[in-house]
Amino acid sequence: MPFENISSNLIRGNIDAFILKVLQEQDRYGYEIIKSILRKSGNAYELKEPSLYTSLKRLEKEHYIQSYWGDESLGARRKYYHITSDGIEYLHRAILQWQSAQKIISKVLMGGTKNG
Amino acid sequence: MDELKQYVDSLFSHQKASSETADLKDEIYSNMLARKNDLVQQGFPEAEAIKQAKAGIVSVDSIIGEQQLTYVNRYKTEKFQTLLLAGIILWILSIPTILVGIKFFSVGAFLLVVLLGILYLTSRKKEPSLVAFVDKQACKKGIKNVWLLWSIFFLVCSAAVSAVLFGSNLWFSRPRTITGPYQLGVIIARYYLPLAMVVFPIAVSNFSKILRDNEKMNGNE
Repeated sequence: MPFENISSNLIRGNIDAFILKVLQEQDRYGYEIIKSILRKSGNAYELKEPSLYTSLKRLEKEHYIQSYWGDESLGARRKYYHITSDGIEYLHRAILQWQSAQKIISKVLMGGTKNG
Repeated sequence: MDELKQYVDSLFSHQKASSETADLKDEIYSNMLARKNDLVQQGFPEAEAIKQAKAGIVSVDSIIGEQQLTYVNRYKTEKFQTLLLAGIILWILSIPTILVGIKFFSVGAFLLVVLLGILYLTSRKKEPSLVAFVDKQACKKGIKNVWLLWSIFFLVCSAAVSAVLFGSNLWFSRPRTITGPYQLGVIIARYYLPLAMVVFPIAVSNFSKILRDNEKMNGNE
């Protein structure tokens, strides 16, 4: 499998956590979420809009986030998202899981040839 | 009228209007507008900013359906496996028709089994951990369509067979005579063939269960 594919697969599994992470800082609307993730990734990862909407829909269904309509700005209603306590818990779990997975992967792939 | 607004309207033109789609439309429009304004602020010309904002979403179909993160290759392999099994059953069911001299059905079923077998084996070789989103509603709709297709096929076939078999009595007042068990067998076989094809809609009905079984649970691995 080409490298691009693996890396996008690895990232795809973490999109929900990415969104929760930037919502933990403050309530945001869709494009703001994309921009924040882009900034945090050092301009290396831009979340695609279709993935954003499907993720948001799923997260809201699981009660990890709540949405509300903001003031009409420039003639368009903005939908804002707010992280719930369940969402914060999920984010913490996702971070712990990532840390342990990262440890295992690093050990196996980058460890010495003869170790234990 | 606002070009972005028009574009978003066109994205939803073939969607059934509901409060959910109306909200999504507003949300998509406001985010597109935000992207466009952001790009203009960064110094892009207006036309280029609009073009890029539009490119963010080219279809809303995948957003509106109920998406499930799925091991796509495993899902595909299991679908082929189910179809292969249905093909084998169809082939077995076709064997009695050889007795009344109808060969094409059995040969056709056999070729289908070979084809499905090849598809199944090639699909098995593909990367099993690959994940992608699959639309649950589209899957259910597909199953319904296969049933509909088979129903139409069955009705048309049996109507045609009936018309040919018994029409001679009506149109040419030449009654159809069933002279023996062989004749009866030939007549039954003609109805039996389209009926036996029911194995395919039955097999396809399992697809939504297969889809559920191949869901990738979030963060569970």
